[in-house]
Amino acid sequence: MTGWRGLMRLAWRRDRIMIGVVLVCIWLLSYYSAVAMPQLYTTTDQLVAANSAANASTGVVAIYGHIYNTASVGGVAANKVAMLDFLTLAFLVIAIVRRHTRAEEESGRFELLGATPVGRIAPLGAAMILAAVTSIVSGVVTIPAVIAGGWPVGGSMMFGLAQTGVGLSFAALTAIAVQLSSSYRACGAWIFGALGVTFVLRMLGDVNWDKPGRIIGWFSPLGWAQQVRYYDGDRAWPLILPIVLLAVALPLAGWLQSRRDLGAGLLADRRGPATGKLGTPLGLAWRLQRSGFIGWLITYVILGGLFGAIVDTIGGMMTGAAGDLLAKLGGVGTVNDIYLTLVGVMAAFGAAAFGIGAALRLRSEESSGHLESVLATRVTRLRFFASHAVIAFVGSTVLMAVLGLLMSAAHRTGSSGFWREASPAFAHLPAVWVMIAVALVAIAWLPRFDWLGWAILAGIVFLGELGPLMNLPDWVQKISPFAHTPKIPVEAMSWTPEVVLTAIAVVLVVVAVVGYRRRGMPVT
Amino acid sequence: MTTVIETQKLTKSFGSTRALDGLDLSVEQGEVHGFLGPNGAGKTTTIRVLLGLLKADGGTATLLGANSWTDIESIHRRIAYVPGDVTLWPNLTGGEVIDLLGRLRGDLDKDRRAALLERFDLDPTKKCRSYSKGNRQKVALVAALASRAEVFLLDEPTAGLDPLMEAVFSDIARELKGQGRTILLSSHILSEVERLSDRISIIRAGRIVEVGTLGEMRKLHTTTISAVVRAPVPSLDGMAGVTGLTRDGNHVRFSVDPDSLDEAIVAIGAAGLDSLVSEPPSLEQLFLSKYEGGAK
Repeated sequence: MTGWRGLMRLAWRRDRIMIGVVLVCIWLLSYYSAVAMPQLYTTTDQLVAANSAANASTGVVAIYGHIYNTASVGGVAANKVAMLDFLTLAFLVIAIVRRHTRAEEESGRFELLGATPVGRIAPLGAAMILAAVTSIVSGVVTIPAVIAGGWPVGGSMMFGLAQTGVGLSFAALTAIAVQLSSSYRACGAWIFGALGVTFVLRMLGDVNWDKPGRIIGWFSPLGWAQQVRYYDGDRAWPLILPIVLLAVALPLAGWLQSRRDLGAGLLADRRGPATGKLGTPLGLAWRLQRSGFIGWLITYVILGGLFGAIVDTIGGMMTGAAGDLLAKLGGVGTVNDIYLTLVGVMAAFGAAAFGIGAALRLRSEESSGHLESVLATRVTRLRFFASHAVIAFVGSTVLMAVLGLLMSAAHRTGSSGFWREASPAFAHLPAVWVMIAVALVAIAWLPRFDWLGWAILAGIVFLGELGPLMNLPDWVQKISPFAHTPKIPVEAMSWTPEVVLTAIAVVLVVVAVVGYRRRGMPVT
Repeated sequence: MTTVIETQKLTKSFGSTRALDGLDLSVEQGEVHGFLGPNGAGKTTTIRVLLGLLKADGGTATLLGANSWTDIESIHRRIAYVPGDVTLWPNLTGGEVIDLLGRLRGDLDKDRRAALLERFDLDPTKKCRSYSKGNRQKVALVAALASRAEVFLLDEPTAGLDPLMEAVFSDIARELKGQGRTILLSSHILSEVERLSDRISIIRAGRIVEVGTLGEMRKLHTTTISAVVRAPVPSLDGMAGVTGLTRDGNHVRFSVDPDSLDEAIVAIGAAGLDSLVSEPPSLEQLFLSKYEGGAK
């Protein structure tokens, strides 16, 4: 571990803005969720009704968890913000650990450090300490934030510490994942795959909360955090589980790290073909993005089937007052329709994230130096730009189509019509395209600020979640393209916003192309 | 002679840094043109402008008679490039990268590819992430040299290669020259440039400060004379163009300008010579003399 202090300072120096911004978002989101509660539910009866309604919906339980005491003050709002906090913090610690271990090794920067008197496991140790400190600060500051928002002290302690537990768990899992493969990207596939699996495990545990199947949820760090039951029984003992995981994973990761070669993984690189068939920019782009897209596709296939299969359990379990209340909260439409609309919007955010990630390959190819070799051939900038842009647009469209069609296909009995139930997934496509086009404009005109695509998407997701809670002015909420696409099937289909948004996306792409053909390359 | 690469008064700034400051470069068809300068002098920037990757702020850059910024497609069919800092797609094999770049360029000579792999002793089945620096360089070299390009832009092509492989590269460069193809050889390795180049351009702070054949450049610089003479040569003292005169018994050493060379030789010849060593300026000396002066 010699030298870990210097390495940690380096890691902090490189990540302080990212960590700071994400933590402030977590704290703000938590605070405003607490503040908004009394405004939404003024009496205990209303609170119980809302919590019961949430419990009655398999969809809500599957995404946010089950509420054991329906008089819980935090209730559905706490479950909802907790899941967002957990996932955000998980993504952050995964990024921290991955960036300062495997990414450094793959880039060769580690060699510089390896030649100095720095211990073999010091980089891993430094990254883990930074991730652990981030998790602790995130959770501990959340506690006063939600108490200030008006939630009870005891539950708030559990709420914050459960969040820290999630951070520590995913830091531990990432420490193992970076040992498995020699590639940064493959390591990402392992750990994000693990995140997906833990989410599905806790989902299955929560949906079966009153059946023996609930045990499945205990195999997931996200499930452990929920079992702390903040505001809903306040049990501290599940907080020990992330510590146990850390105690097992850290020595294992350290042991693996100290006995393997620098740059190598447990799973060795295989040899490949001596000749290649790749011959076009699009072929190259597809080859580079193939595995990532397939991962997204599998996720969307599973989610589509799953969401479709549980549509009926939502409506069927809605009875009397609960059903009325949920309908009132969501405005017009049946419970099924509200659910389909919600799934459509959430899936569209995901598809936009895929598209932005795919578009940003333009930048990673540029900053890694690959672009120079390609542009020295007769490939024009336009063709290169188009290759990754096509994957971003077509890929995100395919994801949404697969989700919508499978969701509708999986909901056969009691369906209100195949196309009617498949259409929510298609309705938000123009908004997805606008988000991708915005990312492309940033890549073309502000290459040093290429992260703007992500920042704007994050802002718009937070706007969607927080805007109504914070009572932001209407025009602020309307900045989001997702605020304009019709919420079918709850609302009627309306073509005007779809056409306008598509036109905006086209114009932005043209603007991006103009900028991309003008600027100097490579900007690193 | 046709000029295949020509830049006139090329300027390019990055923020407040002036990378190119009125650069005039001219490369004739069929020559190996050494492009010499230390790190940060503007070599890579020049090549990136020639490739149409960067747009010059001022001046013109033409490659094969066409505008390097606008006529990308027609130019790039006829050129091949080895970047100064070779990075490859980590999950493709070396063979896949060579074939990919060949197809993107539009000409892949299969026989030549096989021959080059053999000569450079490169295993094309390994993933690029597992290649050493030298082997990555070989991948880029094979990808460029396997083409039927007319112009080769090579940015420090032998970086990371061992001496054996450097020799292989030199042989291939000479073969290409023999076929009438043009090579712009950017480097700071003087011996390599000296060995291969017909003409040399020395770049400093974004300007070409000297251009010519090695012979022409030598004419402009002092020759070092070391002689054992039979009698003192007092006339050397104060002779115009003679510098650094030292005497050690019968041994005299001095540097002399090209203009005064015959006068000095006549003077020591008249004194009677036991031995005479004359060292023409090496490229290294030429290079250092251009840089030691500091900012002009």
